[in-house]
Amino acid sequence: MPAHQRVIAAHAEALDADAEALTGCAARLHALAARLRSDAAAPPWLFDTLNAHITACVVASADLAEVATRLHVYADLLGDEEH
Amino acid sequence: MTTDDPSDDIPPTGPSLADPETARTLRAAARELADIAGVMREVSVHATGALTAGAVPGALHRAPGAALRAEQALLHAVTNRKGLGYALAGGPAGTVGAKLGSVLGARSLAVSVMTTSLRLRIAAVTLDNPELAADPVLARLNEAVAADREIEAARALYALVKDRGAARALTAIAPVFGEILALRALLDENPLNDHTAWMIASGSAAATADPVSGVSNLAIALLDVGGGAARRVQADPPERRRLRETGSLLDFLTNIGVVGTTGRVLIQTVTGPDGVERHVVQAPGMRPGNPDNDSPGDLLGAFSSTLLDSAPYSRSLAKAVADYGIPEGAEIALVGHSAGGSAVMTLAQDPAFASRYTITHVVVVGSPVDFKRPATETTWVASVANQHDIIPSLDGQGAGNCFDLHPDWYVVDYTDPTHEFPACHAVEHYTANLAVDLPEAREHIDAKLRPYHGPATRSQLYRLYDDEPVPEVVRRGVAVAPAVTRAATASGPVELPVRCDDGYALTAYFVADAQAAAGLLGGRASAVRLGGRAVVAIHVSDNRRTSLGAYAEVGLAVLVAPPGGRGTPRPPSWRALLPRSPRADRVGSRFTDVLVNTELSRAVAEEVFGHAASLGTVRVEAGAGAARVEAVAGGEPVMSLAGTLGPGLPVAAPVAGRSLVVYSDRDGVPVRSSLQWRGTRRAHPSPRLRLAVARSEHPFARHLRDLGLDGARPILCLVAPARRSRRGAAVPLTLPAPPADPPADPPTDPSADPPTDPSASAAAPDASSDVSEGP
Repeated sequence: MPAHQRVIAAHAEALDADAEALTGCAARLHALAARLRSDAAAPPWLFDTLNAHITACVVASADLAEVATRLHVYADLLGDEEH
Repeated sequence: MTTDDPSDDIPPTGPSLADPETARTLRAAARELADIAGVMREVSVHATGALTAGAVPGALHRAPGAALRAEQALLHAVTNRKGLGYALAGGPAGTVGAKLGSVLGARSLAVSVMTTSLRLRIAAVTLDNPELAADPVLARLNEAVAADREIEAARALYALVKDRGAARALTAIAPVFGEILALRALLDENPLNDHTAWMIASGSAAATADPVSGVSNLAIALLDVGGGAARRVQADPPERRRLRETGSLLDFLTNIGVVGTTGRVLIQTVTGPDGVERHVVQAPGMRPGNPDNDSPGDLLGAFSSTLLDSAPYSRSLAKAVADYGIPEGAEIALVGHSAGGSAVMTLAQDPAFASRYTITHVVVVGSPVDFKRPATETTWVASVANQHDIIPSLDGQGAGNCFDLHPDWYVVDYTDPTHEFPACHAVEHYTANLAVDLPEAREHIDAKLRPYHGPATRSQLYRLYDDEPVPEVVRRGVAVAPAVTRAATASGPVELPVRCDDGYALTAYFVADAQAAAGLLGGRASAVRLGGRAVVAIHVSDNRRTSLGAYAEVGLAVLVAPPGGRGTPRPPSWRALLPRSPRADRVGSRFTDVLVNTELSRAVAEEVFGHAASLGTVRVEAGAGAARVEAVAGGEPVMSLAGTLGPGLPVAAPVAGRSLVVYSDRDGVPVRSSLQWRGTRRAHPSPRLRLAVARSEHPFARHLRDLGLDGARPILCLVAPARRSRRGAAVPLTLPAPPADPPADPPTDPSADPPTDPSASAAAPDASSDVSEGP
């Protein structure tokens, strides 16, 4: 595999994993919010903030998944050109 | 709140009304959010790396459409306000991008989540300290900081200080001090403090910079150098009567109070209940006064003991222990307050010390030790901190700490009804709290210290020093007034010492290429190194009224070890750069180039002091907080140094005498002279001046270029706007005979003696003959 294609494919895989990690972050934030909702001491501003973080996580995860897809396509094109 | 082995019962701690379980839940949530923020930051670093590494555009010509679509998606991902936010991070390009984002106020998702974590930490502390919520001014401050309303936060802080005074305002915010600083630093537009804020918020390391300005505490700590030294001293009779003759926690803390912040420590031997002799090192906190005196327990020592793995305070403690004669393998308990606590913990984490003795206990009160860990797992550690005491949080982790950094330590984190800072930091206050308010914590620690309960059979006080103290006879020699002499020069006779009754002086220190510096010195001296680099200085003076008439000069000097020194010279100490101490004779300057604007001053520089001097034009413009210096020779520019000086602080009392030791060669003979001066001086630790070297073939310009200083910024500037000075005749040096055998490398063992420094003998002949106390 040519060097460029290899590096780009590696980036794509890393970002794929990162997209999944962000999905995991969203799930953790969701679970945290659910846990704290039953706690009277949780500050009132917390839940709106956590919801905003969850939404941002989901969007960021989708952004990175899109990047990974485009990088995979790019890497494949470079590979086709080699052959 | 106290923690110990998870299975242990947690004793109540004083009169706090907190619901520990609820506060614990919020801290756990804050910890999880910090962890999530860390994951997001890692993701941001990867995405930034993919964007900036060059691989994607590298093959652009081969698949331009796909490459551009990928680039576009990457750029969108790291700047999407609805997703990762402005998320450039990591690597050189990411770091620059992140700083730019900070300046523009653009945040990343990681920072937003970390901000939420900090706000939860504040909420948890507020549960422990209900007065934080009940106080309307404080609540206003908290809300403004958390909502990133900078002007409102400043107004709230101003109102707090106006309402309560500075000390009480500090007391009020003490429990959330670290969190408020970290929040401010994460959200403000200053890019220099973001890294420290992240370290505080993530609990990943000790805060190595001031979270407000971003000025590096680590750099300040690194200025605290010295091998450490300890000398036995006698307690005066009243002290002797007050020192306890038994061993217990309160006895040890009382002793620390008796010894006081005087630069001394106490070592005692106690005979335990089993008849075995054990030893207790008792270390007080910071010695007040000059931030850098000859004691390792000064302000610099407090920074270095907190941030470094080895510091003069801990090294001098090791020397005191060695001198005391504790047998190898004997059991030792280390007890410290404030900076003394940091120092004993630093000693406990030294593998060499820990392998020589059995460190059974470390007990610290009011000390920033969160990022320290004893070298031996069997060492039992107790840390006691009042939530209203700011000092324990100087490493970035205070009452709001949500990280379980030391699950195996016994941590007592409490509030008491008075909680006035700085009163609550006093060792007497801690002693009283442990005696009255925290009986269960005291009993728990005392139970662990039981082997040390018994009569004290020996007590010895030590005075600690940064380095081996200079003998009094040498010190006195510096103060002898010189005789007035006359010297002949090609431009006429001059009277020595050369006197300046009014002048402006600027010294800019740079780090430079060590090889180039060695080349400039030509084997005549050894350049002092700092982190593998040589330290050089540009000395500028505009001498308005002198015995040589008015003249201006600019000189390039390399900081050198004294002639006759051996081995690798030590890094320069803060005091060497601010040459005021008796140890000024150890590090000197060697001028490689001097440019002056009068023929007489050129002749004196060359013929009396042995410098390579040339005639030219020196323009010095000094304004409030800025300076501009230009040197021209033969009608061609040589160099300029210009810019703002940045924040400054006075370095000594205005009346204090100071001296600069200068080594040179005159007619092939090594000589030494000393410049002494008086006048207010300010140190500027983050100067924004820049040195520009002209494309001239003048040796001054060539040497600056060789040292790699074209475009460089100084690491430190010292400015004396109205200086009086005297410089006596240069005196030939009598160097000691070289040792018969090559000396061993300086021991790494902190308790071993340092190599004898021959500088005293090199300095002694002229020390009393050419310098004076000053005008």
